[in-house]
Amino acid sequence: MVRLYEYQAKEIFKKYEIKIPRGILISDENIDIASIINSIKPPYVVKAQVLHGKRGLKGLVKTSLAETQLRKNISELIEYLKLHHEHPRILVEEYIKEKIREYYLSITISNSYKIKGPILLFGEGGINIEEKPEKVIRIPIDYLEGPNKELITKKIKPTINPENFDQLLEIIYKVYKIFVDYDCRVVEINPLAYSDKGYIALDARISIDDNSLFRHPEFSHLIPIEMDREPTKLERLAYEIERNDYRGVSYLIEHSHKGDGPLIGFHGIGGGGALIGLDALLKHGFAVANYSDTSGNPPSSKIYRIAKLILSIPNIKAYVLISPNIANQEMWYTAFGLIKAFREELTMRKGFPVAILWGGNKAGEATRIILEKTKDLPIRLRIYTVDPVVGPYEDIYSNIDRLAIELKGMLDESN
Amino acid sequence: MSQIRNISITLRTGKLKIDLHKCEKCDTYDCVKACSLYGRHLYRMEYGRIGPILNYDIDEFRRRCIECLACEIMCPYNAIEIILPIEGEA
Repeated sequence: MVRLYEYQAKEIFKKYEIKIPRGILISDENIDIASIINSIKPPYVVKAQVLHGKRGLKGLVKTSLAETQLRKNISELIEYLKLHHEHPRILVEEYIKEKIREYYLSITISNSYKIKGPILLFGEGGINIEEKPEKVIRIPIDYLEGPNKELITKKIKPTINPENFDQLLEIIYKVYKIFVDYDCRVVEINPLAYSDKGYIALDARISIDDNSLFRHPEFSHLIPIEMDREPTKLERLAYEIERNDYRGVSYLIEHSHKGDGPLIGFHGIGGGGALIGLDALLKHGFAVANYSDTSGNPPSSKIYRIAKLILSIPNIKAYVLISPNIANQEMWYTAFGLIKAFREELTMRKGFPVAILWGGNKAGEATRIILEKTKDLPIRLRIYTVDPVVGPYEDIYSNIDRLAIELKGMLDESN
Repeated sequence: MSQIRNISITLRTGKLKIDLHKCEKCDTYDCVKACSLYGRHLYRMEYGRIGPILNYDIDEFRRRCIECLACEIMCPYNAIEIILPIEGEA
């Protein structure tokens, strides 16, 4: 799912004439307090724009009564976002005082075998309401016909009895139209407040189906990867590599909290086994800059590109490739990709530690090739190989430990 | 003046360039052997001709090449270069 920020979702709501509070988006380069004060009356709600939920519980939504408090709240949230490697964007909105009641309204996809389609969720609003299923009414929606007025009235009116039911129905139809028009997985308003001016969406969440992103050129800047933050430049490049080449799988994600130990670039082959390798490295006190995977028999060109991206991460002290499974791919292709990347990136990095642990078809031959073809490079290369036919398999994971200890030794030597 | 023409072929995600001038002193033909062993047997050698000879026309070569990089890695004279750009990289 590709999740939009609250301010982006609210722009869509505005287009579909769903009422939203008056608000201004600011970023760290553009903190124009005067324009906020001129256009919005106090008190204010200051909201950090992040892609993960539960902002209220994390203190990322603050109320400001006057200008001094507004300035303080904005700078606190900007500091928080910068510290957590988020883009420092804040939405300042008017505080709706005259709330009579708050509701939770969501249209999402139900994976239940009985439904397998859109479903309307409605209940009394509040924090964590989506985690209290007994308090939420669920109404399936026929995809072709849209929300059924009689069914909604029958289910919602006698139990919750919301104010101005016709206006609420109108909002449900608009939300469903957004859901269909934007190929969404989720459109959610929590809280949907009712005040003397009618219904107003105080928060907004829209998640778009990954597979439909190509139909929406307006979101061409987004990438269809499930993330709770915006992708970094490197992650975008890695996604382009994957998008342009369907052979095998490649993936790269940068860690925002890298830890305190020596920073290493991590390259895995075979998701589960590679994760075990990553855990072992963390256990040994390494700080891991990224997680990458090149599996499913990718061509050497793809492995080269991902290895090159890993080696371009600033300040990494070593490169580690772990493929502890018996990979079902010819390891010599991995070797060719790595050799090309090492020749281009490591010629000038004297003593740079490179540790490789792999098993799989032709792992022995791949080891021989890589040792032979990188012997003129000034790197310190250590390779652990497991033969896929004769093993010894029980040594694979203890080898990861040995690799980590040896790598630590190499890094200590460098210091 | 030399009559040798270099080879340049657009691959699926990159570009193959062979500088045949560098092949003049080659007598191992490692690229041909490498492609035969690791790749798709896209080159051959011919008596009296310099460097690798393509086994297929350009379109068929492009279709068959799996970008394994073996020819580039195995060439002892750095005559073969496969340029693999990363889209979006400055």
